Amino acid sequence: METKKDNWMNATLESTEGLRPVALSEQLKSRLKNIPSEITVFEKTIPLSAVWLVAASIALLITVNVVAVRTVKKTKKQQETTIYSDYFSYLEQDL
Amino acid sequence: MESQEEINALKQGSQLAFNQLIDTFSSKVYNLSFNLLQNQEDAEDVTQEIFTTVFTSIQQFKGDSKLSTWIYRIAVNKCKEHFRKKSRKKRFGFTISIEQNDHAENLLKPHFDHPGVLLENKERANVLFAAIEQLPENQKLAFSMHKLEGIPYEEIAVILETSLSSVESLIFRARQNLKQKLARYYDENER
Repeated sequence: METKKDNWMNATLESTEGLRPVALSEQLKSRLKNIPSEITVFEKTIPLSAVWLVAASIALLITVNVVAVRTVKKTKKQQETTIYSDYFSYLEQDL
Repeated sequence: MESQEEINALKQGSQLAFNQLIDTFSSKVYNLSFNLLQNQEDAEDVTQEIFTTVFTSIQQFKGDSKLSTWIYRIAVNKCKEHFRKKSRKKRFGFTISIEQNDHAENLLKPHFDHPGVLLENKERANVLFAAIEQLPENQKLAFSMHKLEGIPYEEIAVILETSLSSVESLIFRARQNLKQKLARYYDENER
């Protein structure tokens, strides 16, 4: 019984013997050969200054959002504190 | 494609030299990606990423190793990135049900039909590929490179930037792990 299992396992482990390489499609090969021209076109059409400008704009946008969220949170907290102190202010009054 | 002259031409951005590089290495790189990723579309996309990186980083090639080894290293790193992207998607997506347990995750589900496998081995090879897919990353890389691509241990050590003994150990542990997975599969399906 164990021999049958061992034989099956060994045969499975060796089942990729004689594996033939898969042929590349001509379409992929031509895509690969086009890489230099595509990269050169990208470099020519999009100036580095434009890339930096976009990066700086994104950074600015993120910063503005973070600041806005923090401000909103702070205001909310202050409002809550005011509501609580107003509500319990009768305790401080002389009865 | 390993001569200094050809490498210099590549560094100068020669289209002719790049075409030669594609003719020499594209099949090897594609087959490595295909065997590791077990998916044709993913292998094609990753192969394109690999050669884009080769083109943009060729200036960094110092000639410390063979050009083929350097390209294989890029290929392996790109495949690793792909594994991680895929596992992130699995973790955060809806592809895994919450109820799925470890046992279900460890079950072998043959799904990859390699067109280069001999007809009489098809069924078994499908099971083996499913088992290889479940190996830890470095074991999968070392085992696949050696067993499926025929890359010698010494070159695998350079590609993975590790020692020869580590590669031997990785492949030994991969075989042990595969045997365990196959034994479990046999008990559940073949008996």
